[in-house]
Amino acid sequence: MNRKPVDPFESLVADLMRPVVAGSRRRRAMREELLAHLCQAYAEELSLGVEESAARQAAVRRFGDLADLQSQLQASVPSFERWLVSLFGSKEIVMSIGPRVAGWVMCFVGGAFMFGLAVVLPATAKLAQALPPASQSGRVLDAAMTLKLSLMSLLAFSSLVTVAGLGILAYVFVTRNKAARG
Amino acid sequence: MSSIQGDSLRGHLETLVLSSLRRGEAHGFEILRRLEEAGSPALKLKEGSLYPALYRLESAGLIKGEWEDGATARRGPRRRVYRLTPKGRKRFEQARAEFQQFVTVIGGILGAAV
Repeated sequence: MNRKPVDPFESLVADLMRPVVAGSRRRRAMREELLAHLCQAYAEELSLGVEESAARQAAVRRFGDLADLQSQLQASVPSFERWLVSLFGSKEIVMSIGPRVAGWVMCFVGGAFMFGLAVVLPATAKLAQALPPASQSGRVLDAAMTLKLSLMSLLAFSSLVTVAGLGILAYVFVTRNKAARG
Repeated sequence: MSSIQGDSLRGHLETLVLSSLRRGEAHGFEILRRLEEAGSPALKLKEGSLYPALYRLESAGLIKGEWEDGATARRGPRRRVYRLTPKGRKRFEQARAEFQQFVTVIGGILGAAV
């Protein structure tokens, strides 16, 4: 069905994909699918009796504005993947282990902070109660309150980091299962 | 009849794709053919813009794509064949109901036949 001039389409698709930031597996898949489409459109034009170079031009024209398509393709890449690729490059290894490592690190760091704060917070509360009445001036109480608020904020932030880490690990798990199924 | 293209279609392209896949699994080129057949001659799609829509739908779990198997007697680059997922079917029904309501309300205001 697909006839000769795959090469001009290949270079067009390569130009189209060049600025798109995505993992190499996704880029390969996009490239192959877009190329298949252009080849089919070309074959269809030829079957209508259109001359080769006109058929090629028609296939490209039917494809639409390339700059617009480029931005649409970019927008279809999940932002997490874009972020990872911008940070580490589009190596497949980074795409496969990067999220897992990030997830575990976030869980570990967030969990460690939460554990530490779970020990420190009750201790600071006991300390505040144990202060002799004479030392419970306004300034001391203000300082105790500020410390308590800071520790509570740190606890909330650690919880967020841990939950985000768990979310990433769940995403990786689901994605891998999906890929394994099909 | 004037053609419907570009920006007017953009907001509806994903629903149109879901609608097309209700007729059975298909690759991108076939999806376009089905849409053009259904909307012909008014529907003028920029063919490339179908693919970002397919990728968005696949990321959302509304369709599932698989590379066509090697046994197909076709040369050249492989095509991806897409099918509707149960979630996609449900989303389509919902989108169709929303669109019908939109047409009824706006059509009534504009005095167009609905």
